[in-house]
Amino acid sequence: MATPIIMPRQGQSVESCILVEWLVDVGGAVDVGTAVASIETDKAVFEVESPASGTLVARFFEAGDDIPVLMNIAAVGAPGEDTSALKPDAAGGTVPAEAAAPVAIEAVAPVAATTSPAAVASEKPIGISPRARKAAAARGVNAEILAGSGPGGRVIERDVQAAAAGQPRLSAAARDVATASGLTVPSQGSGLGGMVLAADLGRAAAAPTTAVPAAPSGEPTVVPLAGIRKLIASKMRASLATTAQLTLNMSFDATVILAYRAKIKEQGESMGLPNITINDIVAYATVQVLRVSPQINACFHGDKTLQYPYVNLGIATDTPRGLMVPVIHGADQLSLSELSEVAKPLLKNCQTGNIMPDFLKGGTFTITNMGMLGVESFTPVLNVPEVAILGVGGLLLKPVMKNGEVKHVQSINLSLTIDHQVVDGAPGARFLKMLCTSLENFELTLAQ
Amino acid sequence: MLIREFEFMINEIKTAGSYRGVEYNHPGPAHLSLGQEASSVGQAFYLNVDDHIFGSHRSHGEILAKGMSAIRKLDDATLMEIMKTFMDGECLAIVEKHVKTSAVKDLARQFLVYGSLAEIFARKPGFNRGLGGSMHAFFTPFGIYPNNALVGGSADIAAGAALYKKVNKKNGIVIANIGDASMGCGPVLEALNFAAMGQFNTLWPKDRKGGLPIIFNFMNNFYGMGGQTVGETMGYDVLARMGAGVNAEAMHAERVDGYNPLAVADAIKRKMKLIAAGKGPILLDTLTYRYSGHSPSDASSYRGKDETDKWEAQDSITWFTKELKAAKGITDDGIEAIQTDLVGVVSTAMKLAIDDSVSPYIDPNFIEGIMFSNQTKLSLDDREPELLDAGEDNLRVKQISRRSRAGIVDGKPVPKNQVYQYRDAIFEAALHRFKEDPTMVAYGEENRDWGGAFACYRGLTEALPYHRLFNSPISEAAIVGTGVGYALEGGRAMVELMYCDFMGRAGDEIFNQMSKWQSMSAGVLQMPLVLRVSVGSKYGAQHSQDWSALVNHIPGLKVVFPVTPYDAKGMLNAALSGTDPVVFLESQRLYDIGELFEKEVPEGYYEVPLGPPAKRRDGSDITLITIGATLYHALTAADTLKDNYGMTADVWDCRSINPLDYEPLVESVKKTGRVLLSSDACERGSVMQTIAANLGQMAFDDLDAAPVVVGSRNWITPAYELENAFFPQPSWILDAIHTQIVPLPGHEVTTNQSPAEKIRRNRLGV
Repeated sequence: MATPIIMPRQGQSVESCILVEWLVDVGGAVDVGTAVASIETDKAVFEVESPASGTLVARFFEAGDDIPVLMNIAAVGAPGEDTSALKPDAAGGTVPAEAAAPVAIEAVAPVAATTSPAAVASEKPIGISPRARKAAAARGVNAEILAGSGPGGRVIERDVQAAAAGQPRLSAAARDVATASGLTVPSQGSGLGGMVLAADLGRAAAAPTTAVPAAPSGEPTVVPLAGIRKLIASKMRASLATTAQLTLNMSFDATVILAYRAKIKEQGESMGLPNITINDIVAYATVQVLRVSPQINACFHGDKTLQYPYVNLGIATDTPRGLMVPVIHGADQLSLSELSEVAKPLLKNCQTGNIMPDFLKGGTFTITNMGMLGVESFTPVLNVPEVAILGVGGLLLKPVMKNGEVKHVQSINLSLTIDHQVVDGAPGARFLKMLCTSLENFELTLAQ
Repeated sequence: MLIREFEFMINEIKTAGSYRGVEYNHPGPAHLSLGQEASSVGQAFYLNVDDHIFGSHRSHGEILAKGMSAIRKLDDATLMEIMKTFMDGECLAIVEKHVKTSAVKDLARQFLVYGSLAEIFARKPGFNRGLGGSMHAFFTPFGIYPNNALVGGSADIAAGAALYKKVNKKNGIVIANIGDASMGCGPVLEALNFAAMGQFNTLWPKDRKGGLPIIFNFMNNFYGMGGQTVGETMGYDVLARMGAGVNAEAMHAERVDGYNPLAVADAIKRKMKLIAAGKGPILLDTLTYRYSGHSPSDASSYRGKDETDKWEAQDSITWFTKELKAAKGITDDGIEAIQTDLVGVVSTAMKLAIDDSVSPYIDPNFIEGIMFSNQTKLSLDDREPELLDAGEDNLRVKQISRRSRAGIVDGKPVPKNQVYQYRDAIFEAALHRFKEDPTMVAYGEENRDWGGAFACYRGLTEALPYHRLFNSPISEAAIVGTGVGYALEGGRAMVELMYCDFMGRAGDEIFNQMSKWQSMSAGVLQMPLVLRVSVGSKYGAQHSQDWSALVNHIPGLKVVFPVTPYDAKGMLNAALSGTDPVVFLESQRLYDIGELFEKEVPEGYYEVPLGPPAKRRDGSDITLITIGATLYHALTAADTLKDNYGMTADVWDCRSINPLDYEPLVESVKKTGRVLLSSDACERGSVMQTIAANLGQMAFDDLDAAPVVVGSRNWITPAYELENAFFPQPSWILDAIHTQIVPLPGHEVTTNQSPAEKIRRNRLGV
């Protein structure tokens, strides 16, 4: 009997993925671990591996289809084998990407929930020890997709610790092959986020740099629009096409936060504080002001604005794969040092590609900092559907007239882009003013 | 006549649902003695309050007769004192409130009838808070000791009570009232022999010569339930004949007309004289008959109406009334007046006992508080303890003084013949209590001269007179049963079973008697009884079993299994200073080991509390919990884990099985996330399984794998040469860790510890 290839679940909250392209034609030979298709969530692109060797005898979907997770997308078997039993029920249907309104996806999801898990469960139940679950929850690791090193492949605590420490994750196929063959597992794989694929087993660690696009060498290189770049492109276009963007600039006297930062550098370690950066300080102050600015801490959905009672702060970050926006969920519940500690691994995981899709969504407001690149002021592009985004510029000496004397003070420019559809210039300006004040009096902000 | 009316009342309630117009439903048992009244009354007549009776499931009549006898003999002031102090006067207050009489003895009679009936109806003001009930009711201040629902259960317990009276020179005799069919019970035969041991006359000191002061009174009503003891279920034909097999005096056995109260009283009087002359034990075959069935569900299918009619024609009350009238001792009016009076007493008792507002049921949570008495009593009498050569000149004391109390000196284990051993710890704890508590006795097979099969008591023979340390017959039931009776009477006994496997021979005594009398008495009785049980090895299937699970399962027993000399002394000290029954398990693998964990075993007195487990090693990667000698195997496994796999183990010794303080174990498991339990007991249904299940619930969210149990195979214990395939080995522990908890890199298993194998074994039942 033919073996189904299923749409894998990538992260707890991912209900469906878009099939970007088929990598193997019908009739093509595949091995365990051969990449047969590339798929994308709304945040990332990755590959689906074959769980069996043989011939790709059927493909049940076309490129561009939005497919519920855990659904059969193709079948591997002997040439000519009947695969009709594996074909997803036509009525359970799939929706072309173009028509994939969120509502439609939700309507499809229950079908997947009732039909697919049984098939998966009978294939290979993956146990997770209660202790591993607890550790995973505490450390923000998705234990469901970890390769277990316990008896029978059970995910145990040390697997979570390893994952949390940035060690590689294994794809399901790689896990099976590794268990059966005993091939060594490299510390870094060639899959998304360094995931070790079946093909990586037995190889030396793939250098992380291989994932970085090659730098131009004088000759123009054709870089096809694909994967995450494609995603960024469509989001940026959508942002500019669907919103009315207006950017306001204001600068603040950075003397206080610079002094504070210097103090932390000097004495913070002895008090057990993390290395708190200017970025952390600006983010913290922003979060505090957002708590009292419901109009700014909001998302616009065409016919309504959702104002949030919490702050999920996105931090735009440049990565080898392109722009990524990891989100600190519940940032309003964190102290300055906690915020700093939570932000660091998220940013690092974006750099290494280990970030889980769950941490790339759900933001209510975004900060983007170009100051370290020497940018003084810029017009950030809205991260839709959020209604505002804050750009942070670099340090600048600014002449200030005080008591008839001109003095130069260290200042930083803040650029707030708002969606003028739902936020007017004045409330945007008030928000900026409040933020500048709170940064200029940061010790008072901390006391709040 | 009081008994007749009392039993009539219960019979009416059971069969008709009402008594003299008052309705009540009593769902509990009622084994009535209608027809047997003269046997009880005649027996009680000469008995003093110090004479103690132990009975059976059919003892309502004995309670009332002995109670009335005690009331007659006690002066008013003492009677009032007894009633006022018993359970803080709760029962008396109810009787006083509802019965207007100035006569103390009338009050006491109503107290007796109400207290008994409230007990039968499971009411809180009953003599034992309703926790004993019909088959177990008793009232010690009147010399009425526990009645026993196990046929013949009172025989060895009463013998133990008689032993107490003899050893401690207490006044009075003991009577075991048991049925004719109980002569078919092994423990009864053991008790007869125990009471008649030759050593009482040949070896015991002069002032304690003679058999035990006890009458085994067989209430011979010819039936054991429906089985006829004459001509059907027994071969003796005449029960009294059995005495001839016990000793040269044939136990002064006598058959008595139990329908003639005067004949019974006369017999008791004569037998009491024999006992006073040191000529016990006595066997009485008291012929009697019950009119009612065994119990209300008995349709008497085994006998005809003509048979009961004939007995009723001989009815003792009718006959004795006629005799009294003929002798002008009473008139018809007098009899009528007595009857009216008694109906009043019984009716009053019934109305009070069934009234929920007067006689409520006890809050069941009360039972939790009486399962153990949890007291410390260093001595149970204020006499000077009788000792022989128990000081520094004692050979064993001298020997121990030359030994190293530390097991490890300069980092090296002390050689066995120079080290203070586990068996020395048992000796020291025992000798200490012998010196402190004059009531303390120890006995069992080979306890004297030989010093116990494992030499724990060597030296005690020289230290103690015969009546404090003696050899018992090969009678495990009687060894434990007499210990129960000795403790119930107020003494402290330490009895021994040479092998754990022999517990089977003392099943009822351990499971139903030793464990239950504290709680069934609602805390009136205490059970300062320590049962030393040696867990064997090397001797095959019937001499090598760890049955800790059996005793742990039985509510009311404390169970400990110390495995170091320090714990052996400290825990035996704790057991011997307490008031609860303790099963004290020892491993024959360990009698010669020295102390490896504490710095040394102190020379002075100390106690190790029963409850907390002991941490034997500190680690962070896995928790190993052991019971018994397996600790030492687990430590070997822990060494391998450390040396070969870089894992450290938290090793815990469950030296106290019940009570058990789980908190440190839970803390450890929460720390390591992994736990394996091991002991020499067969894996199925073992104590480790209980602990494993509990830890699974208590620390679920912190577990990295389900708790794993490595026990002995569910087989017979094979010969010593094959034991390594039966008892858990260090390699099994590592295999189980590798297979079920965390794979050990490069580990090669030698045994199959997988869940699939467990399923297979269980399917086969092995």
